Amino acid sequence: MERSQFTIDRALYSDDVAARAAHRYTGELGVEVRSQGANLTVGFWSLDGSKLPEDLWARFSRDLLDERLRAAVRSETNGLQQELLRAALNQAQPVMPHVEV
Amino acid sequence: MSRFRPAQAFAAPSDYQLLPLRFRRLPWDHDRAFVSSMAGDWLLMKMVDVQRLVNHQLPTESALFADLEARHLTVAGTDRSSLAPLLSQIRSRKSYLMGGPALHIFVVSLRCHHTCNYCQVSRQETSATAYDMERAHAEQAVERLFEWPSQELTIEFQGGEPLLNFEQVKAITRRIVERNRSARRTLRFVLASTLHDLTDDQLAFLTEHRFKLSTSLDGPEWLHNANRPRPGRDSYRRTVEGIERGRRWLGDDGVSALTTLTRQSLEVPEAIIDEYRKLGFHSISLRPLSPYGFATKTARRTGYPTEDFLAFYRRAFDHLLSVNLAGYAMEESYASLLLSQLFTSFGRRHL
Repeated sequence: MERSQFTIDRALYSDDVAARAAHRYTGELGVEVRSQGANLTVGFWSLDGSKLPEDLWARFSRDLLDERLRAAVRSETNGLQQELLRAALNQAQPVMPHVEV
Repeated sequence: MSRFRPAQAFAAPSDYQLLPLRFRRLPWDHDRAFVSSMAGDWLLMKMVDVQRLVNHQLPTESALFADLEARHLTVAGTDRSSLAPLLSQIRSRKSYLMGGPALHIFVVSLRCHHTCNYCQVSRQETSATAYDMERAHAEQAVERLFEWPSQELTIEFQGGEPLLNFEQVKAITRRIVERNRSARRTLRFVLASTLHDLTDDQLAFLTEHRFKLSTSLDGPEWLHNANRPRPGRDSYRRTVEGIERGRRWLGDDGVSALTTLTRQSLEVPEAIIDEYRKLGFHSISLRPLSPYGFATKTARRTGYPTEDFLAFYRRAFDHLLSVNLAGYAMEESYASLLLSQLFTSFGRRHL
């Protein structure tokens, strides 16, 4: 069974970002995340005995960067998202406000 | 003193606030991304610009920034900008939440003539009446139906084959119509059936209550019969006869058809579309197999990987475009769903 392991500097990528990036591969590969001091190791292996994709490291690196950007967006907009939804749907008028139950 | 303030006085503030957004790199171009707002506005951007946007390095006087503001992905100067248009768009997009579910399915029997490998339900032999919906359950189901607030209610009878328990279809329909005298909802009845052996009495009842008929047609005769085996191997002929009879009673738009795609189907997208055209349909639904019921047990024989379905869909879509360009209007319902979500402000209920 072919296996590949990547080391991630936790000072560059948070555990949450690394886990989200790794999770993207759970549909096609076996995935394992372990903490080792200042690093995280992420292991991938093929579920059906086939070879791992040649561009796995390139893809995973891209996904790590993208997840870090998404974390920045979440951090800046999280409260705002709840407020906007509340404001939008508070003003909406139910079709039938008095439903017998 | 000048009568006008200098241009800089009207310039946007240099910093900005991100609004909730999502992005995903394009699978065919990793240097660009699809970026969308809470309200469903979207645009394609270079990834390098997404990074600059998120890191607050995008100049607020740039054309790209103006585009992002117009699509509610960011806002410069929250003190002078209104979020009212965004709130209005979110309301429109999510308006379906206010009414609750509109489609209500009554499975009046699990009995069926067919033995389709891809069947989503646990069909039973035609003699197994123990698998019919009982009167008490039907009455309870009608009460549950009217508890939902939606002004428009679609009642769809399914099976198995609902024609095998048509008395229950009639009883439920009459009960709903009676109950609606006070409830005053807009009702729409649908019968999902093979349409085999439709009688004049049944058609008269369906016409009286303005039913729509929905049937399964998997493509040309050889494919339909292979996908939908039944004693006599004549499923195609019987379905086509049912479509014609249904149209005579309910009008051309009173009958629609759905196709289910097996591994065999993926080899002949053009033939499937041409069959629908031959039979006068103006809509086709090219959906992959659903992994439920019997379909889970036969997935190895009839199923296929997503890549194969997508290759089929590309061929089918190209052919569909050529059919339309040749003057025959035909929509693919899943494409219509996605395109209306992308290019209109309104959320469309899937069903």
